[in-house]
Amino acid sequence: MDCKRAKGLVLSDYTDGVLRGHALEELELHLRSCSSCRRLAEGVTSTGELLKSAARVDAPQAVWNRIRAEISRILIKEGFVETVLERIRYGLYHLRPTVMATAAIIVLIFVLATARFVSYMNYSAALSVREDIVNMVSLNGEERGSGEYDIGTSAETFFL
Amino acid sequence: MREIAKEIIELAAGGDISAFEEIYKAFSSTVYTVALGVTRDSRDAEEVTQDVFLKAFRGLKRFKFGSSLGTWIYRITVNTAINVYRSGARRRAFGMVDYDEIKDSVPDLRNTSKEEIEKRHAAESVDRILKDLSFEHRSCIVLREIEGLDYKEMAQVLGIPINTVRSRLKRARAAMVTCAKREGLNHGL
Ligand SMILES: [Zn+2]
Repeated sequence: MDCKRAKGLVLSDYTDGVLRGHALEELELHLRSCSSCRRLAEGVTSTGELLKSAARVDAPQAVWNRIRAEISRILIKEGFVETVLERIRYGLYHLRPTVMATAAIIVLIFVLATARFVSYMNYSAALSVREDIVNMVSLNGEERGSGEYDIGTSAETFFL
Repeated sequence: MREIAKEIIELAAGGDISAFEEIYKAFSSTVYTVALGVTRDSRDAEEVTQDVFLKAFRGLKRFKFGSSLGTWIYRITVNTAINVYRSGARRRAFGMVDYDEIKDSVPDLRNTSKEEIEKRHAAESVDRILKDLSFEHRSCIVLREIEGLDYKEMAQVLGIPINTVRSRLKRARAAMVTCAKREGLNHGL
């Protein structure tokens, strides 16, 4: 066996204990006669042992505390979403008539309120338009008093 | 590689926090050791550990029992460590290093036993050896020498064929021995 092949096996299968049979016998024979490959084998083994003995460390307790807190947050959020979805599903499947009736009443109230609001807005718009006209007229020399008197009736005609 | 009972995994996947704590206890030192081994920075290693277990918690529901939980966690660890290491390297390149923390981490050797001092020297040598290696070589060395994974497990964790594991390990170990020699270890080399 030449040094190139021997070193390749030393850096992998031989050191990891998976070299078997004839290849192992050949390598062991080579190592007995070649000090360069033997030193490499010793170096790989001793450095590996040094790493194994010194490099294992436990994670600080603070890490678990942070993970636990984050998981609790995730669970609360998921739980909240699930509850809301569950309520909507329950409402749709079991309370359909009630939900529909309530929705219908709410829509009706909303429509009525909107209608009232729109008509009120139109009424005030009519008032201000009428006032502008009155002001313009009074600027033209007519008496302001007569204009103010007319507002009520004019607003009525505006709507009719 | 340590394994966890199927029932525990299912409980944890369903949101049982004490079941998840069992998984954490079984794998946290592995995850932290690998993370520290490849990033060589304790803050990065903490960030990796936190990320890995949060990813694991979210991913447990999708976990297939055909593969081993250990392999799966190693895989997430190595991939997360690469990302954190890269962003950490950027952070360090911009000089955002906490010098107070470095000052605090310098050990006080006055009241320490001889054994403790030797242990610290060994840890410092390990740190310097690993720091000299590329990220790729480091992850190989950490999984094989520190974690004791076999070639098949390494192939699964790193997502590469077994022959690639072997050739990468050869180069990584050759680099490792060269670093150790530079460190004054293995005087005969
Ligand atoms: Zn030789």
